[in-house]
Amino acid sequence: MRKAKLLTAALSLIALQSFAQEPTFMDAATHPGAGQIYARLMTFHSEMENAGTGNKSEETSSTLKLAYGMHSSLALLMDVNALKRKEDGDEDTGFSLVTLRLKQRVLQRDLGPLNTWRASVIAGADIPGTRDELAPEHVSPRVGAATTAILGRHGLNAQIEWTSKKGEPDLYAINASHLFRIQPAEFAADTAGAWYTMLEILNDVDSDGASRSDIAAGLLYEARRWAAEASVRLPVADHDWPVETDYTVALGLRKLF
Amino acid sequence: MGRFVILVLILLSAAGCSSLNNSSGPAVDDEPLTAYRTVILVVHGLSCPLCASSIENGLRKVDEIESSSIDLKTGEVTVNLKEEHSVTRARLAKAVADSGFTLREIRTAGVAE
Repeated sequence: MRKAKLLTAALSLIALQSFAQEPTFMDAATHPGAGQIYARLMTFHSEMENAGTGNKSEETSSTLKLAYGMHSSLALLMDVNALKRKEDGDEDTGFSLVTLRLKQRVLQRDLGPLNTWRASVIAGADIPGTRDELAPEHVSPRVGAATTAILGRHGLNAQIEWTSKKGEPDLYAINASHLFRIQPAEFAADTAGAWYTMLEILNDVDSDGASRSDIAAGLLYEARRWAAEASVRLPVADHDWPVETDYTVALGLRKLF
Repeated sequence: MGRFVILVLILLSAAGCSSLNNSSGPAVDDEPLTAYRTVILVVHGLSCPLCASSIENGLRKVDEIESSSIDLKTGEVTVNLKEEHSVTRARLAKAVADSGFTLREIRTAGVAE
């Protein structure tokens, strides 16, 4: 427990010393340059209810997301997730999961100084963490694709991903988002940073027919060497989903090395 | 799992065979730029402030570059080169492509003394 807390704190510090037009909760077709590392530290807090038992629970998790540019169009992605869960007075903390994926850009159309349209395929797996209570029991392969278009002040993202879970229904994520640059309206030679609004529509469907749809709204500030984000995710629709999430608050820091 | 491996192989094959990228931009010759101390790279796809940082990081790997500055509005990257440098157009083009952007043009500006 103590080791996990220390490691979480250390990971936070790394990120504090430590990309963009990426929304908070979904993937985008962005890549770090060859030999560059893009780090992102996210903290999530959720309150939820188990639809089966009716038990209320609270989860606070920190995820360190690292992307390394192996080539200008190929990136290695690693997410490390530490989780603290409170349910019925019981509290548990541990590393729930490590995700390793490769992201290959398959389309790049740079249409002007700012405008671009890109697409990537992403494949990898979720690897169980150290705590059985919090971690999935098996390696779960994941395959998906994401596309990103930046047109003036507007950024559009779409993502689809399939996750195979042993002993559980397969999971399909179908997500879309819109980012809007609110300030500055036009970039200038001396632009040091920009403010964006983020709106995400997040959908999960499993192979048994259960589904849920959420909406997330947030704010992103992007400077030339770092970015900060805050977003709130709320449920919109639910059909037989095992967990009913009341809300999720996300805070994040991003840094390009 | 077998289904997954086959799907990954198909996706990565499609990626490898893809001819949809235009990030290399127009062909750039290997002409040395020794007569110039300042060149302007016209780059497309610099969609955000952090993208500017990415291209700066890429240019930093070219030893002959003294400094660089970026105008996000025009996509112009002004590159100041060191004295007696031996940098070529192709080297600058590779630095831009490695950063994930499209080089449209290299304009020469300041002549070396």
